[in-house]
Amino acid sequence: MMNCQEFLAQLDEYMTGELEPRAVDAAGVHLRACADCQQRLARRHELRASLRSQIAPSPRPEFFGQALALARQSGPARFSLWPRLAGAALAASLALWIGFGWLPGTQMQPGSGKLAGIVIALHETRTVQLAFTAEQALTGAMLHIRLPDGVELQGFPGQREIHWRTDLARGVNMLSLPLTAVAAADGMLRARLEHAARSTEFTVQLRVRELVTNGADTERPLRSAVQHSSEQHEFFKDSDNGANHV
Amino acid sequence: MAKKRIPLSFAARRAQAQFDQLLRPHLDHLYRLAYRFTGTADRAEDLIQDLLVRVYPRCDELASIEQPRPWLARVMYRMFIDQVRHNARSPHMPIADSSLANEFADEGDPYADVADTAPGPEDEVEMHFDRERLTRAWEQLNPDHRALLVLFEIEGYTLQELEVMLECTRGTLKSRLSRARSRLSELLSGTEPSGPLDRVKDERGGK
Repeated sequence: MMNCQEFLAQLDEYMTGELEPRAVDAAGVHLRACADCQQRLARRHELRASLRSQIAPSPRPEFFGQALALARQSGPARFSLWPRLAGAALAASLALWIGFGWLPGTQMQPGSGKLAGIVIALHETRTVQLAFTAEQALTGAMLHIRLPDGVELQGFPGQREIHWRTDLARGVNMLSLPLTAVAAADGMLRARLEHAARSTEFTVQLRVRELVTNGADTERPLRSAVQHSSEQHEFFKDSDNGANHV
Repeated sequence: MAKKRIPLSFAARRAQAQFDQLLRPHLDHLYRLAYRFTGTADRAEDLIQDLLVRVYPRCDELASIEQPRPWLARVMYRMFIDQVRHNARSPHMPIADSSLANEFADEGDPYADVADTAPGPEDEVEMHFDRERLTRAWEQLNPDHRALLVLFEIEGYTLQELEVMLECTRGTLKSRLSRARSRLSELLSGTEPSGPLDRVKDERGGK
């Protein structure tokens, strides 16, 4: 049978619920029989409750905004365009995961052909992950994103078209696009990747969901969710012939 | 002549937007931690500011972490402890609890050799929890002990989470917690540190 010393050795785990069920039972048996340990446990609960009752005030209302702004000015962020693949983050955003790219001697990877489009509630931000697969490292590729009205890319308010030059690593490159719905919309997000004379384009339907006055969601019918452009098909025809591999 | 503004690259602008998005949900929690670690609003703000400056260049790493909150809390805890150690070595910075200088005198973990077998004095000393006394004792507690109790007793981090956060074994962690509670109970009862950790009346465990 458990003695006081053994009970106290496990008291932290007992309080945090980190004991095996059998050990919990043994501790319970000891507690019922031992008034001293009942008192010790009560004192620990009392200490915890007292410490938790100490008030921690809120900061000045403007503090967080100022602190974030100061940190952003403190130096360059190592926030690459293509963050490392994080298993959990990827799994969490799987519903919005769209894959396309160039693979050696194969057909185009159509990503999720059954993707039902992306619905964003008004004023909500959702992160769309685009996965670009490259058979080898690419330097100086051009990426063009075109957004439908009513949807903004965080950091680019009011811009419908965003272009930038980037390098791609061999394999899968993930691009996160935090999109915020600012107005009712139903349109296509287009992502186009160009390198040398080749290009590939991907389109995904984006729809902004509004709440109507009776509280029910209103959604317009879906068009086909994912479409590949003609350039893309042409490119992959070339690719299949063994020419112009990227 | 006005400086020409160089447009930020896409990566930089996105970094700025995502930095806010990543950090915002955790700032209330972190501020509360910082306040409880440091004891004043000014020092809490300084600690949060230092944390954000430290973390900003690493937002790529932060974005790939499944649970950013314990990661951020850990970075902030380490920064706080480093500051405390630095101040403890500085002759110009008085510290509340005189036991602190001894605890941080060595580079290594001051608790690494403490066995985790005996219950601490906190299990026996009567505690008096009226608010004023508690506040006074809490303020006198050394910063390391205070931070440990904040994480474990107030914020409810589990032992398993703290092993990772503090990079120590379960035994070391429990010894450190026991010492922190002991010290608090000593301060509450107005007694000075006493002898060995052998306070169970029935040591041989007659029950």
